[in-house]
Amino acid sequence: MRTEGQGTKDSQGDMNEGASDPRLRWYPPSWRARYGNELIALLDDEYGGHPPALVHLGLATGGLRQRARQSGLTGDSAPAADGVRAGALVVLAAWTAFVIVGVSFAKFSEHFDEALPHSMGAHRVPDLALTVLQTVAGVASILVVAGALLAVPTFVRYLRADGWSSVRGHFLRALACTGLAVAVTVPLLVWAHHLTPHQRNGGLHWYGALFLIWAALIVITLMLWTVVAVAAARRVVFSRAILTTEAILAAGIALAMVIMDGATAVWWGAMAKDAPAFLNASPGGAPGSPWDIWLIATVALMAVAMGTAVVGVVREVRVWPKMRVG
Amino acid sequence: MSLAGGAKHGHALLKDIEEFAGVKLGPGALYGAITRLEERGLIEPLASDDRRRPYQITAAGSQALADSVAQMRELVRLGQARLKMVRTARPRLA
Repeated sequence: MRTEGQGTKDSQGDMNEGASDPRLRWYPPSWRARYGNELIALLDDEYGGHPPALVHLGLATGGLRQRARQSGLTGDSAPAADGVRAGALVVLAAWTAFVIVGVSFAKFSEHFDEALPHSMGAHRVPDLALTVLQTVAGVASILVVAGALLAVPTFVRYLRADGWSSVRGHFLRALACTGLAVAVTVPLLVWAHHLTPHQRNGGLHWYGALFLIWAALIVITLMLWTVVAVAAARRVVFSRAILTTEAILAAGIALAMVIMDGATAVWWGAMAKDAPAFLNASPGGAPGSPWDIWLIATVALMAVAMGTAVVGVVREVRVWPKMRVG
Repeated sequence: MSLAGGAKHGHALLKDIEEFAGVKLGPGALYGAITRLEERGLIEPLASDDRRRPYQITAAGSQALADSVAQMRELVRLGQARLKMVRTARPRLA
């Protein structure tokens, strides 16, 4: 992409104006520096500087498309290594979402054994499904940690080479949220220790409210650390060997998500057959129906996260041959 | 195709495309296309003191357009031949 050094002095001044215009906030900074001024001129000519809502929507989608192209997630203009890295980062983000939603499923499926009839056959399938789910989740977590550890030396070199300023804001936000989450966790644990199981499971509204705040903090903390990882990994230049390993690990994590989604579906089917009453845990559930609204939403979000991870792996696979040639 | 008729800036491109193709592109879509075409070397910007930077088609762009037009011409030829066949076989459709 061309840089803006070719413009005249006057147009350089205008370009700064275009680059900082809030209407183009969805576009990446380098794109705004190159095309922002022209696009603002077009908006002025076509709409007198006040484009309708539909045009704003078009600018937002156009900006996001440019960001996806620049990061290597779509198109063929970015280097192949960027495409592989973008694919792996998509898998990481999808895994974070999967874990967050998975906690909801873990809570939902608690004590499911007690709801099943005593015959051996009724326990076998849901037990096996949940065991597979938990085992694969453990393996996938190890893969995520391995991927993070593998990136640490390159990341430390990047920080030493004055890269700290580019991730400082993200890092401090994540750290502050982690501190807050810890500060809420300690009193919550102490309080929970003095409550009965009934009070902990909806009997005490104040505890329920604090639990929800704590859960939200944990979710936000996880998301913020993922943002730190993505922001850092986007800027760091990995060696081909590390990138290759990260891509393979990402594919393994995506495969784990597919297996976990399958195991969840099998567990749901087995529970619907032998203990449908257990599946109406949320207030939205109809008695005797396996279609509980909370479970449907949870499984649907798990499927979306899995689909997103698969998209990331497909991206890796598509640009892989170019990286090998390059 | 619009730039084959001469160099134009964004606003002129929108008007021209609307006139010859009957399609009103949004500014976001137009600049998405400009970005891709410039990256592929099919169009290039011209120097300008104005905010409205004009673009012109390159030799590679001209060749790509010629290839596309040839493909479309072949499609039109095939379509006409097939229409002739169907009208011969079923005169009531003519």
